Amino acid sequence: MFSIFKATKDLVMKIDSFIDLVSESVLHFEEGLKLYIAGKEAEFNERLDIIRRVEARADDLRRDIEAQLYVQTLIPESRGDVLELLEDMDDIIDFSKSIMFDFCVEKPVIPAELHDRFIRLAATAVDSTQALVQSTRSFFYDVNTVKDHLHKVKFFENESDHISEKAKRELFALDIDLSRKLHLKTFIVSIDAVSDTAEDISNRLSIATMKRIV
Amino acid sequence: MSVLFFLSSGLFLGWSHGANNAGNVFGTAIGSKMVKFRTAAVIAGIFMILGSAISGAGASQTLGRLGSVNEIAGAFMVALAAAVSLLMMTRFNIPVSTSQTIVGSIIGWNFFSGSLTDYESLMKIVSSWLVAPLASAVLAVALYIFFRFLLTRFKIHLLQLDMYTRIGLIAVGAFGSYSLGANNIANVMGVFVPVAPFRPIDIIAGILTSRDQLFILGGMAMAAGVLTYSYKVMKTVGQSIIPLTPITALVAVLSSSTVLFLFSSQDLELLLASHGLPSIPLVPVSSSQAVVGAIIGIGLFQGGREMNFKLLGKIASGWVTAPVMACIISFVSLFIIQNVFSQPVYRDVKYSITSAAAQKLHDEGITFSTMDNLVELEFRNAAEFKYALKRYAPELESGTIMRVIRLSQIHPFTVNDSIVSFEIGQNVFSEGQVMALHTLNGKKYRHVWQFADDLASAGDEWKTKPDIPANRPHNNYIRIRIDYLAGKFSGMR
Repeated sequence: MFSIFKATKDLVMKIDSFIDLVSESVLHFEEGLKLYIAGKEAEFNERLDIIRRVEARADDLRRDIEAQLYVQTLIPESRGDVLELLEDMDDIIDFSKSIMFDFCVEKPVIPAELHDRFIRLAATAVDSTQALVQSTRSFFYDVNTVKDHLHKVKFFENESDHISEKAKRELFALDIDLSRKLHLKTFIVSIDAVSDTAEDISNRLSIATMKRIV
Repeated sequence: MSVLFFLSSGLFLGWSHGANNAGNVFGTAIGSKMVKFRTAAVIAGIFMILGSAISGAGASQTLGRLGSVNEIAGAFMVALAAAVSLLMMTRFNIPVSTSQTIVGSIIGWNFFSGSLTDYESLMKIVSSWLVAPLASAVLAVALYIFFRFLLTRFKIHLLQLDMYTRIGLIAVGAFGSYSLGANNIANVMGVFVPVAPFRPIDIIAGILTSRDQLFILGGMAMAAGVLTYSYKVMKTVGQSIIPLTPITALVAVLSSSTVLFLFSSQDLELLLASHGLPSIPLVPVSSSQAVVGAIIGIGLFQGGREMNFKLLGKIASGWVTAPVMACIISFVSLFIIQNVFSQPVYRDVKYSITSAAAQKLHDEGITFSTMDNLVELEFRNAAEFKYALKRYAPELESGTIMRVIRLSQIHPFTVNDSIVSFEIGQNVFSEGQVMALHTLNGKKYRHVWQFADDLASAGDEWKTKPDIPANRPHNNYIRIRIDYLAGKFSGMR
């Protein structure tokens, strides 16, 4: 009997840690982007290393959690939803890392006029992900409050669309090469996609929540 | 060997009961994969045996009052008729239970043997069929609201909730199996109680009377049913009733098990009665209908959408059709087994207002003008005697008539304590009881109550106490032993 309590507590801690890692990864992503724009390349690379380690730990944790849920046939009713949710959340970490990696490899030169837009776009991506993280925690701890956070995800996703649209307009109004414009556009689209991913996940979470409400 | 053959219909009834009803207790847990089948089956088996052995007596007494089958071949047929009607009703997809068919079957025997049906017990049983699903529905709604409050008040992690629900389903399943054993062993083995040929056994923890042995055997038959044949039923119950979340499943099983427990707990009856509260009749009720009642209760509370009102109609029709069908099958098969296979299916119980009975009636203040015409007249059975009483003394109330009938029952025997030397050796009787019995050695009796009166005056340990609920266990203890002795001395056991 004692081992059941211990195993459950252990698994709860693992899921909590996994959600913490998702939250941390986007914060590192935001900080990394600020450092890149400030031209601090060495510190930016340190952040990239950190986010790589976070990704590896999150992968290990997720695999562990999945195995435990299957082997011990836990939460039969919501297992499918939980596994899908964890995989989707993992995608956010992967996505943040891959954007930072692209910055590292492609080294886009961001015109000073767009610095603010890029930083705000990243901050909104962080906000939408944090709202998603909160709703995910609620899904596990207090399913009745999930919707209190879900609407924020939608709000920040709209906000992000808005900022990215402005950024694109300003970018294409600049007097620089078209090739450079197109190159920078891919980065705007990528950062905006973080919020889109968060919104997609929130939609699925909303359905899973409805199933769980007694 | 022949004893085992005659018991086989009861064991078969127990087996099919176990196989069919364990699904009501563990079906949802198995269907939702929250509990493994093997775990569920072992727990259900153990707790069914415990329930029938420890708390089975209450409900079986009410069933015993409905009609006391007094030949083992009759008991065999009554149990078989109940099992067959159960099977037929299940074929028509009508959810009835052993409770309904066994009642019809016993009434069939009463008709066939000319015994009287105790309408007071019958009304008690029939009204409880209605009350049980209703009570279960009300309780389920209350528990549902309570659990919902708990879940919003205390923030429990999904995984911890899953663990608590699993533990809850197992605990409630064990409780449900216990209640199922306690409440329904009466259906399975009740009819064999008066005819069981087992001798009492002295074990370290106390005396195992023949009824205890019978109930343990019945409990084992139920457990065998669970282990060998309940898997499919559990799967079906878990998936075919409206989809339940694990929490609603827990609520449904908890409320139906509690209702079953309330209808079989002698301790609770005592507790309620000692506080001057109305007690719950101890009668066998249907676990299937209690579960369906609980689910319907929750369904209605949630808004009543997707409610299967046809199912409700079917259940209500089962209350009538199942007993009637069992009654007919029982009557016809008793006729066949008596006339084709020449097996005695009932023992004639004669009635006569002997001079002793007339004196006793007079002492109790029961007199009627035409009593002299009936004194020492012998009647072949209770129905005939009742008819005569109604004709000669129309002024008598039905309660008084029942008392006259009870006091006039003829049961001739001679006290011979060497016949029960085995039981005395097994310490079934106390020292004082044995001494009192010894003083009556060689005495002849025509009525059991005369014997009981003489025993009470020969030794204090045979005295019954005033008939209040708190004294019932003691009075039952005395009554069972006196009936056992009378049966032994007259060669019926």
